[in-house]
Amino acid sequence: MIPLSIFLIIWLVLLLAYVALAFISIVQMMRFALVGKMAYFSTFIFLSVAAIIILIVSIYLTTVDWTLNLSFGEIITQQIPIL
Amino acid sequence: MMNLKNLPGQAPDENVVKVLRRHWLTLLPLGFSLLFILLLPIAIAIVIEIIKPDLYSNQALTTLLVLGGSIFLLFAWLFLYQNYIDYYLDIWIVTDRRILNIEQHGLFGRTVSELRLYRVQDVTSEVRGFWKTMFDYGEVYIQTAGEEQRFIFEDIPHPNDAAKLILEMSEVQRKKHLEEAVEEFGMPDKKS
Repeated sequence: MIPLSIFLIIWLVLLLAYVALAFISIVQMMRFALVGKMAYFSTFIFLSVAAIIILIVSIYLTTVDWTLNLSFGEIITQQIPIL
Repeated sequence: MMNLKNLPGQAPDENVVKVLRRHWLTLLPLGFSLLFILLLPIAIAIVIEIIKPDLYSNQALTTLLVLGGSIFLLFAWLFLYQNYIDYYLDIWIVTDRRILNIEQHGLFGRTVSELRLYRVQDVTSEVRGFWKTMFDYGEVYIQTAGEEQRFIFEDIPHPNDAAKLILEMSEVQRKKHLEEAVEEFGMPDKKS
């Protein structure tokens, strides 16, 4: 039995890595691109989509009961009765 | 950001003639991979819904799927943005004096090379393949005197026009350069 909150911590660590990589990418774009609308527009689209995904997931995560446990063995036997 | 009015090592009277990037069609594989990546988690969710609809009644498992799916989508989106950066930051700038070749290699690699137009000796344009012929894009190879390595413009739109432009401008620059040399050192003595 694995506490569900462990997966939340892993998710947050990965999200932190994501934010760091996204920041580096945007800095590179803003530093080296030619002055123009497309550089700003593409960065805006990138940030908007990422923000929407994070927002939707965050809203869902507030409804989750984090005291639950996850048992992979149980799930497998439930879903594949032969086991 | 880099301003075309303020290029590295720019002379006061130097003007930008053309800014070239790879043809937009070269972005299509990236677009298709975006579609595939975006549809993959949705397709998996639909398949689960059809085969095992009761799977979603397990809140812990649903949460795990949401966490995994969201991280997958976020990193896929970042991967695509980084590929777009790679495309967008590859630029060839032709001024009336030189050619600047700026290439982005991944996120942390960047090469900026420069070629004086009067040194250009040979310019070759190449359009090879069905799509390149249909949409008129391809390569331009620029050969300079005494150098084995060539300057290559990859997948640029209208390569024939670009090659012609560079040849004409290099001719003008060569004459100008020769006149300057004659003014400075005088005409070479034919007897010697």
